[in-house]
Amino acid sequence: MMHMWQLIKLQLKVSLGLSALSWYRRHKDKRFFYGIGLVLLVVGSLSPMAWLYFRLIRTAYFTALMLGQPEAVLTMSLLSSSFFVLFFGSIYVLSAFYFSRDLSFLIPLPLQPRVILAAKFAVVLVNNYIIVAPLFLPALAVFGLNQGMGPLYWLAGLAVFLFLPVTPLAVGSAAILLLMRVTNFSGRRDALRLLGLMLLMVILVAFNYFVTSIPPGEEADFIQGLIAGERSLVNFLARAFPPAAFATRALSAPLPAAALNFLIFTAASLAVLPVISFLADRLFYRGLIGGEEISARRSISARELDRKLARSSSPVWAIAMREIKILIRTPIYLFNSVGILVIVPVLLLVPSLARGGLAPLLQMFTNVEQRLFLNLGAAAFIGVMALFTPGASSSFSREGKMFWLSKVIPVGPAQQIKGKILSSYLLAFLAVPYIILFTLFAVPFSLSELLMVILLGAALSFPVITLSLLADLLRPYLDWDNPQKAIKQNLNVVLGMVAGGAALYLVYLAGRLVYAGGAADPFVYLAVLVASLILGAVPYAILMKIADACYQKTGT
Amino acid sequence: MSKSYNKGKVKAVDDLSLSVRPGEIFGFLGPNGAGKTTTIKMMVGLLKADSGTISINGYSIEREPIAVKQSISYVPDNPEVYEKLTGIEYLNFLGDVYGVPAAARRERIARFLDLFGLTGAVNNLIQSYSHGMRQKIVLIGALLHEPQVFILDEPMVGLDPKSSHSLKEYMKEHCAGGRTVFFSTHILEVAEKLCHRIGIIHQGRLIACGTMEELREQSRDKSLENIFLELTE
Repeated sequence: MMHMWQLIKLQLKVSLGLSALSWYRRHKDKRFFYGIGLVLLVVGSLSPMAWLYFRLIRTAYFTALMLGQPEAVLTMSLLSSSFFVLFFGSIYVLSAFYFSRDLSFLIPLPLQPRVILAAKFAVVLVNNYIIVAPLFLPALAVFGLNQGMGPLYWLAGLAVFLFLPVTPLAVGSAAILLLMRVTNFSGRRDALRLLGLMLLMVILVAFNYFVTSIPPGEEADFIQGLIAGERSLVNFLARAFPPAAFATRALSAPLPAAALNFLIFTAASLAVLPVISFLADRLFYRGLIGGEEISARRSISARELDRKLARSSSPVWAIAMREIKILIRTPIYLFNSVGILVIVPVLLLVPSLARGGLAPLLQMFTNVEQRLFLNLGAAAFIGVMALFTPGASSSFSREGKMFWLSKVIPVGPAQQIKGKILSSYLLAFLAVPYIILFTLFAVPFSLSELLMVILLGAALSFPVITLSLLADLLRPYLDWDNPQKAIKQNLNVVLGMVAGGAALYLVYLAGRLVYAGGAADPFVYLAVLVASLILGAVPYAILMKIADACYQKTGT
Repeated sequence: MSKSYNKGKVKAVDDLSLSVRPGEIFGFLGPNGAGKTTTIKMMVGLLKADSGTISINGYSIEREPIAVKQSISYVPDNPEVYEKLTGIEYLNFLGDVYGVPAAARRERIARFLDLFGLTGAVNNLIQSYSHGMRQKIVLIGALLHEPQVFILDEPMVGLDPKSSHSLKEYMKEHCAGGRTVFFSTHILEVAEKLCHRIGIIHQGRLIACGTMEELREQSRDKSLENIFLELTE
């Protein structure tokens, strides 16, 4: 037991960066406050979304109140939190249990498998509070404040919040332990990751379809349909996942029943832990050991070797190709940088599909009388795609511990950055096939229009790419042990999107100003082009100026 | 040159002055934490010296870093390489950035792959390589442009005996052509047999430097091991 607590403490310190944070506070206070400031900035930039969610929960509460079951808002949020934890948490469980790099250090230690697994479970659990907090706490607040609940409610609410992810995570962990025991997936971690990410994509699209299928103006009726009656979705799911029902009653029923339900809920949450512990001792090592990656050796003939070595290229192109090759061969990079270019257009189309097919959407485009709007819209699509792909905003971070090589090669940082810009453009231009499909099947562009759209799209991508690279160059996150962290736990990705989004908005304002002044179309195009180039040239010039110094001080 | 950490509290390299000649194999010895890797990292541009200058092949690492990097190559002690590239892609990438012509690239890669016994694996992703194989692919990449100065940090660690022997032979061959090898090591026998001159660093300061004979003159003992232990005690 002693070992378990020690290891849990250690894992939490490492995973949450507590030791590093405390060290920075004592030795490098500038970096400490910089980190804290960045976290606050990200939280602040996400607050409008949180406010929207809060309002949705309020609407749901008042609809439920009219139906005489206000506690349904708690059940809904408890259920959604649990399902999110079950799905996202399970992906995290898989990564933490089977693919953590510290396993090669932990396994040879004289520790029971359950001790190692408990520590990993604790880390996943703590990280899942980030998922649960924004989903559950607004509902807890809306219900508590509107019902005028006393201190016991808030105390019980805190306990429910803390226990809420335990059961879904335990269920997910048990499923993962069994899956890894009976399959040979641990040796094919890349395939498994890609599979998980594709599943995530399907769930996101399905969720989007579900949300957008609510007819506009009929949200209250929709919510009513969800919660009213014994056969409603919420009641059905609550029966399928009883802890949500126990927790709801613990928070909303009169005192004796509330206390009983609270006890059942906490006891059920605690009862799953010995089960996981039992499974850990029996299954964990059997699924883990022997899963080291050993790919079949493909020897190469002298002729093939000659062929592969026959081409030489410029350093800038070589850097761009290195970026692209590594990106497409690392599932998490591929999914986030390229997959997102598939997901975003699909998510944009889903509302139309959910409301009766693509015909009305196509009709809308055909009805746009001014070609100016269509052309600028298509160009903006390329710029927005560049904004959504984190290829540039994680470009330096993705190099990680390999950054030493970029510092010792005889290619100046400025040249290397040009290679990164080139590779970012190659990614952004993955949006061009959509434009071509659009011109083939929706609204035809003339060749000159198509070229102009691509040119303007490239111009709009310029500030997005350079600002994203600048964000990552200033504070690259190189000290990761799992590529997922380089892109998913990298604040630069969010900062790059915010800065790039702001730049696109400024370009839009410039175009609108010229259009409102009654200028002819070519002048509007010109305004967009010039504004984009200026907004891109400034960060580009900064990148070129600071590249040497930043490379010098980055990494060792 | 000097280099300190923690705002000057820890002196990693303390007023070190050293000159290595063309055609020389120079061995850099010292206990753990003596400042060997810090010195090497400053030489190759991975770290900036707090004071002093570093000049390689007549170029200053401070003022002409690209010229220095073009004429040197570096093999780190723990080779972190792009796992998602195949060996051949990694070598091609380095060939491109060092500007090695295609014909020379083909000839050298084939020769070094053969020398280090990596031909069979060069088409695989580096993530499937063992530690020693990674060390070898980094070595081959470093030799691709036939650097004037070859800088290695603990190069023998992880290499099998045959590859270790091949590397030592290559070092001799490299220097015979008037080029230079600078390497750090803990293996005193290797340093004793291979190096023209040896430098010993302790607590950031160069405490001894010279040929084996010159070092022996400084000490009553004959073996490098005892000289090393006596000096670094």
